[in-house]
Amino acid sequence: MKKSQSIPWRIGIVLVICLMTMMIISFFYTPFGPNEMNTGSRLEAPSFSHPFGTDNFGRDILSRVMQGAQTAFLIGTSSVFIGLMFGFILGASAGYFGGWVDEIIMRFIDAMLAFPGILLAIMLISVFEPGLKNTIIAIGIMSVPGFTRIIRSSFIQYKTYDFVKASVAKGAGALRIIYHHILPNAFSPILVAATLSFSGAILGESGLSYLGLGVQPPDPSWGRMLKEAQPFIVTAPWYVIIVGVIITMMVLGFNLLGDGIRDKQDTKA
Amino acid sequence: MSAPFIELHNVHKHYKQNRRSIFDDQPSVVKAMNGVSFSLYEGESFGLVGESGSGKSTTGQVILQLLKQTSGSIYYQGTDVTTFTKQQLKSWRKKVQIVFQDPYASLNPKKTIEWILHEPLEIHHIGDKASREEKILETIHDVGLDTSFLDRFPHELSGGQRQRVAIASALVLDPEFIVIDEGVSALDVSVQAQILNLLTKLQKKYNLTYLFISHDLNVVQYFCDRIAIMYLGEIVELGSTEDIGTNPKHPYAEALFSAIPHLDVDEERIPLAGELPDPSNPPTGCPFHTRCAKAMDSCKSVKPVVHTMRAGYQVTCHLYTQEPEHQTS
Amino acid sequence: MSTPLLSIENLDVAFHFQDGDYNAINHVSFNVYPNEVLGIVGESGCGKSLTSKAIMGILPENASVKQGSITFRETNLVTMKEKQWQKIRGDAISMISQEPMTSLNPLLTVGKQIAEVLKQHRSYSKKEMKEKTIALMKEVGLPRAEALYKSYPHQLSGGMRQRIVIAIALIASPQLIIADEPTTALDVTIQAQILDLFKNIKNTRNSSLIFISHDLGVIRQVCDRVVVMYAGRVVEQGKVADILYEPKHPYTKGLIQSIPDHTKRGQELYTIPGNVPGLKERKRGCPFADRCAHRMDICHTHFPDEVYVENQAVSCHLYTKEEVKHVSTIH
Repeated sequence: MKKSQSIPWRIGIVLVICLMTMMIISFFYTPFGPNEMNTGSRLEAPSFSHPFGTDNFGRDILSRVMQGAQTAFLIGTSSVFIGLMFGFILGASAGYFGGWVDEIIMRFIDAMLAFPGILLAIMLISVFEPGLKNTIIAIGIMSVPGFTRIIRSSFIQYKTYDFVKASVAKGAGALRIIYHHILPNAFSPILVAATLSFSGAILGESGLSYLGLGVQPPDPSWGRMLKEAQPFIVTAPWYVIIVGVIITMMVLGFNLLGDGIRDKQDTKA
Repeated sequence: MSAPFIELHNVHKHYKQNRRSIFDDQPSVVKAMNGVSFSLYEGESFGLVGESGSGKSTTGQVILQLLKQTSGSIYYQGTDVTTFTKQQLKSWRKKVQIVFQDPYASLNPKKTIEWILHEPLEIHHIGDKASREEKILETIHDVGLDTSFLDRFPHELSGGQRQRVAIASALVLDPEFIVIDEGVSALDVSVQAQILNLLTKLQKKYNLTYLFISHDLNVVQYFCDRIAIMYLGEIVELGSTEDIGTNPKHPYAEALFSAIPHLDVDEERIPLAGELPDPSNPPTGCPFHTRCAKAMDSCKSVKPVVHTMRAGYQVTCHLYTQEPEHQTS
Repeated sequence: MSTPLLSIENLDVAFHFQDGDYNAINHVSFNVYPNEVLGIVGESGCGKSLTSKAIMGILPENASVKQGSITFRETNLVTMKEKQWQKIRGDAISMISQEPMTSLNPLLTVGKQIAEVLKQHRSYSKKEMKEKTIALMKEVGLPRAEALYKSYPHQLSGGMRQRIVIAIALIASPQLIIADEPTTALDVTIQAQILDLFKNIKNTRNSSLIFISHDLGVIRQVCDRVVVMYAGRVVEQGKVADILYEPKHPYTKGLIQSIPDHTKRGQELYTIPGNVPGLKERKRGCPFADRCAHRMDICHTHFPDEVYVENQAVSCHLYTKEEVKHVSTIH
């Protein structure tokens, strides 16, 4: 039983490590310049010199996918960071203090949740202007409600534990309770949420870029590549397929990783 | 008798319950403590007994100000702790401690035993590194464990050992008063006996005062000097263990004591019909009249007052406050 | 004595871990006779609940019967297939668990949950089922049974829920009912009510009952005979009065002496030193040896055979030797 659970988890690890390695390599080496155009070899099928083929400007797709990984990881990490930071402040205050603090924060979060996340992001980006920075901010804000709720519920759960009450009875203040007693115990569910949110962020970025609201050319982004590949879906199907598969691998990898952490946590408890 | 160590004066604790449906126009109120008054004396073990929902745990936590009372005063050596500022409260917390029931929930699973014992000293900035270490060693030996436990995590310990650690972490600040909230109820009989002996030993050694909250009358009668019996947020009988244990006066106390399954005899039991009424909608008059075999008409409408049988022994029941001809045999 | 209804012989149940199998139940043998209430008493981890799960065929996934037999009405339950089990469970053998909150389905009315058992095992009409259910609800002391039939578990108090659970166990008139700590989660006064109900069941029904509890006082109230278990072994068994008033095994003696009550006020309580050994800490020989004041060399190497001392069966080397030692020191 334990073994079968760990197979998806291992697949997740392998996928994430592969993509991460690809991202790291791209800092030092890509087969071609990612923005290097070559009008002579447009929409070439995968070959030995262009393993993933070329796009409509004759750029090497493999190189662009590799560089795109940088964007994906950057957006994933920074938006999770933003989401976690605000989610933690809001969730921890709501969960720890309860009462009207909780009431106000959660109504605000409910209001945010009332908009579909992507719509919210689109709204934010159209108010400001499309680009990498605003994409990160928009996706980060999109993930705040999720983090807030998870952090709030683990705070509420652990607040009622006897060891927390016992510590209050010994004179411990709020910061000590949060730092020493609640956080170490709430760490795992937060980690799971962060991992799952990472893949959500990448999907969000792809969506925004596909709509042309995300990362702007010439920066390579997987969502943008998908959009660019669309007109050639019949003439050069590998372009769409390869980019689609890469995005799927990334999202799947992080989802499996998150599920795996959660399962490990469950079996321990 | 000397001046009371702790004195509760007409303490109320009401919880507002959320409205159950949108048609309830008022949120219901549960009176977990409904005018509780009693005194504890230095060095004694005071037993607070009742069934679940009686408000006994709430009482313990209100005394320690872990929960804020709705009204009333609590005097600790003559000072009203309900008026304490945050700073006063913090320094007072050194003297009063609590040990909870479930030894699996009362220790932080992510911390070592040493950390757990060290924390209270750190909170109150007591001593330097060497003296803290010494204190921890002294305490861990006091509770019958040895230094090999210090690097372990709670999950590596048995229930009895965890409860010893919980007691040690209460003891490390040299408290005067400890609330033991069902502190031995979750333990096996043989382990329970060990912990009870430990508590007795520590009481003698450090002149501790215990508020011993329990539903187990066997344990309370063994351990406590005086007993108070709670029903629906009110104390219905209070007196020495000898008085109450041998001849309980209040019909509820009587039923409670006769419900204990004893080893030795097949004594006649006084069956208690029904169950605890909804605490958010307690009966009028005497809260116990709905289950009382001796209920009279007046019990349904008139709330009985505390009646002192003799010094230190009080019962709240119409049977003892009314004219003799109203009494049932 | 008559032929036993249930006979457990030499039963071993082991938990499987990555580093090997560990026996949680070791060479356990006892009988349940028709119409009797057998108590199983012991501290947590002694294997009393696991024994009952083995009888019901509901062992946890990582545990299995290693050897021995459980014979119920001349059938060995251990070798039965899951399909056959399902016919027996709830019908010939039923179980009452400790937690009345979680053993009921919150989404079904309690009446339906009782009638469900009949639906599976009997072919009654709907009307008959409802009549039988309501009659039984009255029998287990539920007031206004007709009205309660349509209520949901969350609308009932703990004591009433436990009565429903008992009704579910009784509805098919099983020959054997296993009650695993059925009153532990209840308040004293409610416990007294439920114990009275069990005494009633004993007098009015033709069933045998296995009553598992850690509380000797409770065992005293309802049981005819009692089996004392320690660390997966049966250490002593016999009539309740004999065991409680004349215990022979040092563990039983210690257990009884460590119960606090008002007569022991002011005295130090007798304690058994140490803790119940964990599953992986159990050694050869008698599992109680390390905590026993009377241990001898042989205790660390051989588990004693069961011998009859006066009226009860005891597994202790103090009694297996010819010259019976003086053992009254702690009694």
